[in-house]
Amino acid sequence: MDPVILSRWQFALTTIYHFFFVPLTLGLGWFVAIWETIYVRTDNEAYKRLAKFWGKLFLINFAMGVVTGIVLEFQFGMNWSGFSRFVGDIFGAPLAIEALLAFFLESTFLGIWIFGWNRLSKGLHAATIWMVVIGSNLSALWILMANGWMQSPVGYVISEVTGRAELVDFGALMFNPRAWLFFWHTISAGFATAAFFTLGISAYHLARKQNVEFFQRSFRLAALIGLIAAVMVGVAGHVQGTYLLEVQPMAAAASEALWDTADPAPFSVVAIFDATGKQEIWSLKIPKALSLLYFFRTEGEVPGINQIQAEYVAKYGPGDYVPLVALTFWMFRIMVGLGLLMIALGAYSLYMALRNWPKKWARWFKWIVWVIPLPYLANPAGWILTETGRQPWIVHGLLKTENAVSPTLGVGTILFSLIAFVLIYAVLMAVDIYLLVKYGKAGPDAATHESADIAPAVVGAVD
Amino acid sequence: MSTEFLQTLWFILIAVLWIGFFFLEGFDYGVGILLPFLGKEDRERREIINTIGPFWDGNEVWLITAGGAMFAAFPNWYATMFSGFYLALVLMLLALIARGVAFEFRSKDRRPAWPDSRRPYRREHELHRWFFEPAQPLRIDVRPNGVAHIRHARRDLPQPQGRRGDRSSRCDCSQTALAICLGQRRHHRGRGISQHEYIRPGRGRPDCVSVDHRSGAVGCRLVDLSRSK
Repeated sequence: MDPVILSRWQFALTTIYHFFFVPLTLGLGWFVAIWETIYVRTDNEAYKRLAKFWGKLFLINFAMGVVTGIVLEFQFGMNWSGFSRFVGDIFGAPLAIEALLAFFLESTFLGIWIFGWNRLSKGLHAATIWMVVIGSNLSALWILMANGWMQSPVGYVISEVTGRAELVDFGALMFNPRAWLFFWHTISAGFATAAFFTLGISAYHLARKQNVEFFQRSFRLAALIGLIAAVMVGVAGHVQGTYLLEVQPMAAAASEALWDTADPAPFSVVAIFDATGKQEIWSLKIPKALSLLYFFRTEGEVPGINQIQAEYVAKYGPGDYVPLVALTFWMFRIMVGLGLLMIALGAYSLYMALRNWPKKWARWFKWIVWVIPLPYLANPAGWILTETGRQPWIVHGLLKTENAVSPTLGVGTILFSLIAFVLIYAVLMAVDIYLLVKYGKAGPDAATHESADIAPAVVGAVD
Repeated sequence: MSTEFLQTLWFILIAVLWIGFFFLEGFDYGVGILLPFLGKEDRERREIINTIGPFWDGNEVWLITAGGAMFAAFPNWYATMFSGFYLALVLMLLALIARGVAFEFRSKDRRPAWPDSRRPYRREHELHRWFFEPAQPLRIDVRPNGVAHIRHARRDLPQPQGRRGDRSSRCDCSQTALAICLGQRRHHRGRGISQHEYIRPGRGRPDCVSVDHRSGAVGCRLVDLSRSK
């Protein structure tokens, strides 16, 4: 086995795992903050119950996000020392700022929020959850700036002395369009994840006629935000796609499995690939449709994989510059398909909520609980597309993945850590899902009642 | 600003971050290490964890920031150190993951299989029954003035009577546990009998010692303090 492949597997698994928790944190924080703000404004205890119930689920999820996040920061140095040396001056900056500004903010104020019920004034307590929301969303912005630079490097020079990338224009790094498109897409996805999570749990209780008023309130807000967010994810994704065509045409072509430059370009709906994943066996094509999607007209040239490969060989020297097309192609379709499905389900949910749960459509309602997995499948699909679409580069056009791995690591060492992470992560996933299901099913009474469990008084707690 | 000045500045900054991490999180680690020894029942452990509950997460951010600052300011240092200490860091990460999740999740599920959440002292009981009891039969006399006398009975003295399994009539507790429950210890020596006095300050009655006279032997039982109140 190859240390590069093993390191890639480890990074992929730990990152995808981390990203199961991140979007929910990004989005659900807003929900909790909104509920608590309404509580402060109206003084209606019902909203406090909403904040506490969704807050409890938020916390279970948050803890997992925190502990799995440290692994990622450490892995840059542990497994990818070549990468760290090369990009540290640039990539390290937003990463350090993320820790300094965002993580301190969210973790400090989350501690105050958990332990501050009945100790802080209501307004101040609500302010702490808003700080958590700002902190977590800021952290997403900074890490996406770092990732945006890996996809589309800007504002740098390659030092002639050290051979490393050096930052010359911090503004260019900060206002990298790629990073802001990522941010738009990711935050919308976070909102969508939280909204569909809320929709599913609310529908579970509504279908059983438990805490009807409580979950109708949750459902209404989630349906509204869910539909808007799902549409925003799509719009952001489209803008991103057209920008991708400009700055990373190989990734764009690979996500569409467009082998040869064409004008107008056809769109492959489905395709079958051979075992290498880089050869197409069969595909169903719609003529002109790809140009239509990119340019909103039936003409326009879209560069194909073979031509870009030839161009890159001329530019960067001999080598295979084609990503694993089968993977990017299908991940893209899974992501878009799930996104469209979520828009439809969001619209249905909003219709149900606004029309006060009409009988005519009610028989579909019990299935709404199954919307929860949808964003959890779409989110990693999007990241797999982005990260494998960039291969063989780790920093597009500057550093190849095979040169980025730590030269000192043996196969056995990485295999050990990979297996260890897989085992502990599998156990934790089981516990996390068990707890989320338990508290999700238990409903608001348990969450309000057992709040002493999260934060009993420091001394002499009453269970 | 010269490169040299910036290098010095960042070196100091990173040192401050690491010191901050060790200073703050060191306390958290100490609490975690002492947890099984200081917390005798679930509620006590909960209270011990609560002393760091709001902070451990924030304290861990010092570690993340220190790593991030090294990455940004001295990429070669960061890359060499982190890849060089690979296995040590993997083990540390796994432990940090388990610890953080344990803090947040331990109170979210209560079940008999969860150690000590419902049956305090059970584990301690078993341990002491097998290890301490045969070697150290204890005699406990409780005086009406609130002073409990613990005697280390010599081997040739009659062993405490009672049926096995009948906890209330047996001396399945250790001096340490008694000291924690009863408070200050005084030591007397003489006439071949080592005698300890346990005085519980501020209480007229040692409510965590019970004596079973029915079986004819002097025994003691640890009573859950929180329940006897």
